[in-house]
Amino acid sequence: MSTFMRRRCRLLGVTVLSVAMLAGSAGVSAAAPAGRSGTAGGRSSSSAVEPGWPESHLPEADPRPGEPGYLEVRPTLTPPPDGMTDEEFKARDPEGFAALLPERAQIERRLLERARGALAKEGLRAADGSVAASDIRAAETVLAATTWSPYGYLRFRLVPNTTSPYARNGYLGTLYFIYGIYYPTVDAYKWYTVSWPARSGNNRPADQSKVGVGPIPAYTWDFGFMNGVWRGYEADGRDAFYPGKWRLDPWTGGPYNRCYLEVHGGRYLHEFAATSGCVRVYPSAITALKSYYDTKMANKKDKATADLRVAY
Amino acid sequence: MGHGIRKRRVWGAVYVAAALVIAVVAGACTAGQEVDTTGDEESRPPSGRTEQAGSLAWDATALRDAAASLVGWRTSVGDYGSLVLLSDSDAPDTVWSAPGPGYGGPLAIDAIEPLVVLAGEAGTPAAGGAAVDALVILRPDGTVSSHDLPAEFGSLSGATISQGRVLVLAHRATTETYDTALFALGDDGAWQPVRLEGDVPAHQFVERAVAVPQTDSLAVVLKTEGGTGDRDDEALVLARLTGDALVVYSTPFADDALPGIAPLWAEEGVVFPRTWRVVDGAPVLDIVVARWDGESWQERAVLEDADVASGVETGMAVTAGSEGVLWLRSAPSGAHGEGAQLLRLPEGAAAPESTGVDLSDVGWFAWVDAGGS
Repeated sequence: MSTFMRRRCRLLGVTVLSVAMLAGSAGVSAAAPAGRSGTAGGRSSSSAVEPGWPESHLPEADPRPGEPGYLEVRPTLTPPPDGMTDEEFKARDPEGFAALLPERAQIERRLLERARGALAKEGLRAADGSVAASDIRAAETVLAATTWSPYGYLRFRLVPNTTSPYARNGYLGTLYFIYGIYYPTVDAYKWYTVSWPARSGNNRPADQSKVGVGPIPAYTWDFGFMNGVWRGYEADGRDAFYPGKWRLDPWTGGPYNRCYLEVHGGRYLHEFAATSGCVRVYPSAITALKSYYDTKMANKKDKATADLRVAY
Repeated sequence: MGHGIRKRRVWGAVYVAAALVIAVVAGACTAGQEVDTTGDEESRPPSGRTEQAGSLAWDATALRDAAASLVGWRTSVGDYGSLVLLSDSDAPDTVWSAPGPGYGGPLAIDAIEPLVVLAGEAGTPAAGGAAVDALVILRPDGTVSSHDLPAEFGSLSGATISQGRVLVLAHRATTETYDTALFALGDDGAWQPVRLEGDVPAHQFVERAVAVPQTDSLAVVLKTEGGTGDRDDEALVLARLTGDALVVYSTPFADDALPGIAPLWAEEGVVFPRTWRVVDGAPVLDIVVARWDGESWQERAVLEDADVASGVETGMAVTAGSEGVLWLRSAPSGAHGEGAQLLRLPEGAAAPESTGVDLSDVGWFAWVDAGGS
């Protein structure tokens, strides 16, 4: 089959799939999706969407080897530098630190229970919580087999701001990657944070219910998943995505019937440009985030904890 | 038309490849300017472009001889991108094909002279992608040169050509700061800083700078300290390049959609897709023209609630041609923009007309008029 015909067939397939998925998402949405973090729900205010969307976001549209825009996913060869310590984070972004700390404390309590339980089960943790020096290596081996260290998640915020060069429509968007490493010797997590300027839709939280217009709705999204299946980082050389993306679940039937949302880059006319709702960062931020995702997120394939938390 | 174009493109690519081999073997091609070596070339990842640019030639007559035409950058399966004529189906449609990786597509084309500025890319294996780190210039004399960006502003935001001079807008960024700077490329290959002077509105950085064809004006979009409104994040001013200064001579025009501007043809003004209007909760798209009449800005929506692409999820959406014609991208129905057509909107027309020209895989297009036949 010629390339021309192959692409036409794929186009037909994508179109049919798009219609089916949109219809499916409407059905799912009618069942009022409950947000994992409690803010979802509502229904779409409009079915109008940006021309070209969502077809370009469907996996069937991903460039294939030999096609324009195809990029290989390359492994992270060099570990990224440590993120900001709490002291550094608090000094650089005190409001962000204060906003993220309570939910992180909740996560940490849950993680500590699990880490301690795993060590106790193997007889590596004494009643007083200590781990003998001779057992440190064994403890590290036990933890390495879990998804609890290094543990990572993401957070997206939009806060009123007119002065930052990255603010749009009166709001400054920031994408955070937060990761914690458990140290058995001190029975505690040490946390690090990395952040990048980001934007989503028209950047106005009040418009989060407007399909194709507003930012990604407040919700806890599964980062790097689609329809419940892990996909991880996906390289994409098309200008509107460059150099790649992570899909977000629920892929369809999200809050306010929002669907097909991603975290992606973009270059040339698409560099840090408005989106139909996806979270967009600079290409360099995608590259940096991938390095942390690859090396600091043992839970990346755990749908229950590989979160992008969005709250306004 | 599609099959014919594809056949011609294949033969065009074969021709270009053969010409290159012959030229290199014979040592007969013009060397062009030396590749700027201010950067540490040994530490740079290989791009293919750096090695090739100094020994490339291109056939500038293909553009010089063209009648008034729309040119585009087409990236098709199995090639690295080609500069093609879009609106003249009778002429050979491939002007130039990139010989390998390392060419990121055009950033600017001179309206009269065959002078094209492309983004030069270096591969960055860790990212699985490439970074724009240089300009590649196809010159009227048939030479091709590559120029690394100024060291202190190593990231490219855009480029334009004003009265034969190549200007770049470069940036440097941290998590908290974002700075831009304008540079003109001197005859010696060195970058000359260009200042913004005159009655310059308060702004954070220069977002875009594009020359208005057949005038000495440049349309400069400035990112301002905006608010929650739809017309307070960006400001447009017109300026003239005088020596090493870009001197602002218009009052500002505000609209949050200004990053999507294209200059009008031989008129002091711009056209852009206005993307922020919402009616009954649904986004609608207007095509807006803003003209400077010497004292104030005159704004007009030439298409309202238009069924054309906005550029948010597609390639370039609109450019201006001669005689007041606007060229638009239709709303594509396909994943790669397949189905997107080139539309023509004559001045004063109520709706655009289809041209039958396929914009599949064409991300950028612009009008040129070299005065050929």
